[in-house]
Amino acid sequence: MKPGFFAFLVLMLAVTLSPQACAIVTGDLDGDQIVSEAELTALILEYLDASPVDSSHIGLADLRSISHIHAYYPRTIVDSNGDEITIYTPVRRIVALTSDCAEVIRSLGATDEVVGVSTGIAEDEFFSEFGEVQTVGKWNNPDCEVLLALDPDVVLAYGKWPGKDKLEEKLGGTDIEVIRLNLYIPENMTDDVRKLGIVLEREEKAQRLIDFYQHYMDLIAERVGTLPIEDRRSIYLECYSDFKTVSAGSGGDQMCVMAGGRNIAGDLIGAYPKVDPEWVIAQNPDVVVRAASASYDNTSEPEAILGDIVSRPGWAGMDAVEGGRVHLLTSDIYTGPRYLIGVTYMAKWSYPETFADIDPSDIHREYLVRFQGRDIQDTIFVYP
Amino acid sequence: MKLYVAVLLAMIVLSAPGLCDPNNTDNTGVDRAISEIAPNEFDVTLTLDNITICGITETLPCDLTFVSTTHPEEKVKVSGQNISFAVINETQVTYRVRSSTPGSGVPEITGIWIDLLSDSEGAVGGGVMSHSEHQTTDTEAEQQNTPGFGTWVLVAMMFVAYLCVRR
Repeated sequence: MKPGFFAFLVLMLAVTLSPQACAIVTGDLDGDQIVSEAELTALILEYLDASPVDSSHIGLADLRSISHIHAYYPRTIVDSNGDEITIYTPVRRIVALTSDCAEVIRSLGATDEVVGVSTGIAEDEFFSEFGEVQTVGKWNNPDCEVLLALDPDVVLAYGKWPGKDKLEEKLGGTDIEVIRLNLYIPENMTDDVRKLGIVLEREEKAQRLIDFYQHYMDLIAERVGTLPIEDRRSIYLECYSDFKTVSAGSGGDQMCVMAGGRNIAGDLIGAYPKVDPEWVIAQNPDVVVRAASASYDNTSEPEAILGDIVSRPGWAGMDAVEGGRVHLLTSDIYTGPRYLIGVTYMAKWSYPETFADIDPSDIHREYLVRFQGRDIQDTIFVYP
Repeated sequence: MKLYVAVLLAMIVLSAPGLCDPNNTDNTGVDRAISEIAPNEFDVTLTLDNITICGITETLPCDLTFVSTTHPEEKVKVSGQNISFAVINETQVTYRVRSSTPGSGVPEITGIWIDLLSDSEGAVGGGVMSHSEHQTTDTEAEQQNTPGFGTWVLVAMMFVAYLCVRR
């Protein structure tokens, strides 16, 4: 047996038997998790020198894999929590706890590498390809025993949820990397997509998605981005429940600003403050947007919700109601990877003449076809 | 521009040799240049094109002896008449050989290279041979003698040209 290959086998055995496991990096002979030029050189010469009939030497497939690791690894990102994450080998086994991550994974063409998802993703028709994938519990409270059994390379979660006590602390002593990305915050979207692209070695696809976002964000910014604050349409954004709104620090507030609007609650304390009905009437917003939790397959349900909103006491004289600018926006396109679609709708509702040539549903379709490999079905994402 | 003229132009462009060939890897490979630097002594220079991590094995004929190389010692392995090089982030390798046959002219050395960041491999000085090509050489040779896509393009071009003349 060749010395290099022997050392490789011994190291693999030692690492496997070690109670505090670190990632096994094929081709790393000294255990520092990096395939150095010297280590790669030794293995190349060993391969070239070996007889083709001698099975004890390293194979060409392994050598190519090791060369790839030498050339492209380690790779490091700083996740949404500011934690530095270093990946030493290609990620082949992913557990996605958040639907936002799952959607971006699909955009990056890495769904085949997903070995576990949260129950919410598994039950979501939009992610039909994950129906057969092992579920690992809730997005904010995963079953770590199931998760450990899957032996993933990485677990993708939000910055805050689940808490470290429910994830990192239960995975301690393993080589599983927990990467926390806030792919629900519009302002972070391009950065986080880029980071996920680096982790999954899909930088080009990530860049294509970023370019898509940037193209339409630039288009909106060119038309309404420089409006002085007093000329901006005022927006009241109600977040899933009555009179719960959004303020600075929330994704919804960022969307109001990106759409060229002025969030009437932008200065309130707390990211998701609850407001009084009278306060909203006093603000007299130009546009009211209600974020709804799910898309609809018929108009009767959104019609009823909308009817309840516009018939609230004292709302009849509100500019938004009188002007017919009260709209429902479903969670599919509110924040998350499709925030851009929501922003485009909000811009069009706020400035219909400025965006007369833009049909947000076309942009939505473009996104779904180009990045998600599907088309819009008979689903209502906004109403009216 | 009339549609048929546009179609004709498109066909001419698309039928240009190599333009639409997905296997066009002319720019990848390892070339060998041999220069006589003294009687019976030669410098062999291997030049890599578009290969970042490469394994090369040169096989010397019996009357040649390996003398030295400018490549780092730890990246070279000499085993009988075979000289193996690990080449990482370099574009050239030079080594020296001596012939035991006076006046034998430029020696005939054979060699293989493997691009370790792609599936390409081939003969030194002989272009690229991908792994799949290894297994389908006979089929491909047969296909090259069979009228294929190029012929159909030619027939289609002639038909479009005929339409042009008629109008």
